[in-house]
Amino acid sequence: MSKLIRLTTWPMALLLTGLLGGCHALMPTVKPIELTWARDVGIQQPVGIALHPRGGVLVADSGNNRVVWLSDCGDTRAVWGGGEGEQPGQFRRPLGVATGSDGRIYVADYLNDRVQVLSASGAGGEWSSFGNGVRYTGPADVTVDQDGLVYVVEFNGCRVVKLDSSGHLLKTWGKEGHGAKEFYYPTRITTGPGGNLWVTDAYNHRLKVYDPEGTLLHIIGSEGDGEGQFSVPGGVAFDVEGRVWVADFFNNRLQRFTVPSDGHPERVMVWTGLDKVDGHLHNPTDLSIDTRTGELYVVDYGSNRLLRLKMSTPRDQQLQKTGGQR
Amino acid sequence: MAMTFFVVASLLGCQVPLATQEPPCTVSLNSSANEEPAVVLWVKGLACPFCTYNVERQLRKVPGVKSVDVTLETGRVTVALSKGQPPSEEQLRKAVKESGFTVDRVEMP
Repeated sequence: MSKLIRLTTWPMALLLTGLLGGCHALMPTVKPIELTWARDVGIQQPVGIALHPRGGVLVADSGNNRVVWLSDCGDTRAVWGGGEGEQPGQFRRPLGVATGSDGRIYVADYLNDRVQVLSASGAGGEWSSFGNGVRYTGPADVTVDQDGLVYVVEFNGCRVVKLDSSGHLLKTWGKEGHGAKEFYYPTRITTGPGGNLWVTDAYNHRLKVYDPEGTLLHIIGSEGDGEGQFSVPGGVAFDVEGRVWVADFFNNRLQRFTVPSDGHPERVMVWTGLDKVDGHLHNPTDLSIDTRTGELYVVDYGSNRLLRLKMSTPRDQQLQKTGGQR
Repeated sequence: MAMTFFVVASLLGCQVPLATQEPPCTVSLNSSANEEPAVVLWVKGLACPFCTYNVERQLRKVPGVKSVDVTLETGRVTVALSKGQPPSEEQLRKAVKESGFTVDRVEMP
């Protein structure tokens, strides 16, 4: 009997080890470096986030009517605004933030119906309105492509506004509605691979991908909580492999997927956070990915916190060595 | 001995725990708002920051509205009013409706 036990024990141990290893490969590939990061900066109702070209992240701290620049360590490097106002450098519910390759910072200043830009030149930089003669209607987010062209998405205007680097209006597209060429209260806009624009058509529960001229390429997703579905999606970001990450607001999760030529999400991964109450995502609104390090910065709006996460699979670690910054 | 200690502690500015000492007062962060007339609206279905700020946006357009504070979790919308002619309940309800939501009930001052 003892011989029988010895003969079966090791094979069973090996089998179990293999099973566990296989299970591990199927587990979420996101591992938190620090679940709640930048704890002491006093943010209130953060909404938007963007990488700063000089390191760290910029956060649209809408509850405090300010924009905060945080270092990699979560320390505060700079604060603009604080206390609502209409003067240059003041904000009323800043919802989106972006940076250009020239170092300029753009802020979608929602209740002031304007986009402000902080010039990189000058001793301290100056804030000014961006968009010559453009009348924004509820600007919610902004993105800058590699050529310095600026795209603004309007929540109330239900459209995208395209401007050159000097603020001259180039074109607009979209209108309120539920059709293919329409938006229903869009909230985020991101420059993706190839310079395409990814617009979060939040209350149509979908993402829309356009080329820089406003030609619709893909409509991704539908309302729901299944894989590839969304419930008021938020920000979009891209990792070094070109996979799409989405803050799925009402589903309290992140989704990651690849998008082949037909636009249908594939290889979907869903991440809701850790299995602790404090670790579960709660209404994430936006995220940014530093492709050099593989780190994700997530705005977990419902928990009033910022998360700093890291992909941890060996494949991801290998790819991080050849990645670049978003 | 005890009296000596008390006197010395007082001179040093120490807070001497006394059985009769009152607990520290809680200062309301909204004390200034409490001094201003305000209307409370209870709005159903507020779900995201964009929704709340859109409600704020529409209410701020109403003459006589000074500021708006929205609590997403409860749907409580506190509308601080300027001195002078206050807005009507109908105006406030209409503004909220234009943001896509409905006022459940109103608490007028």
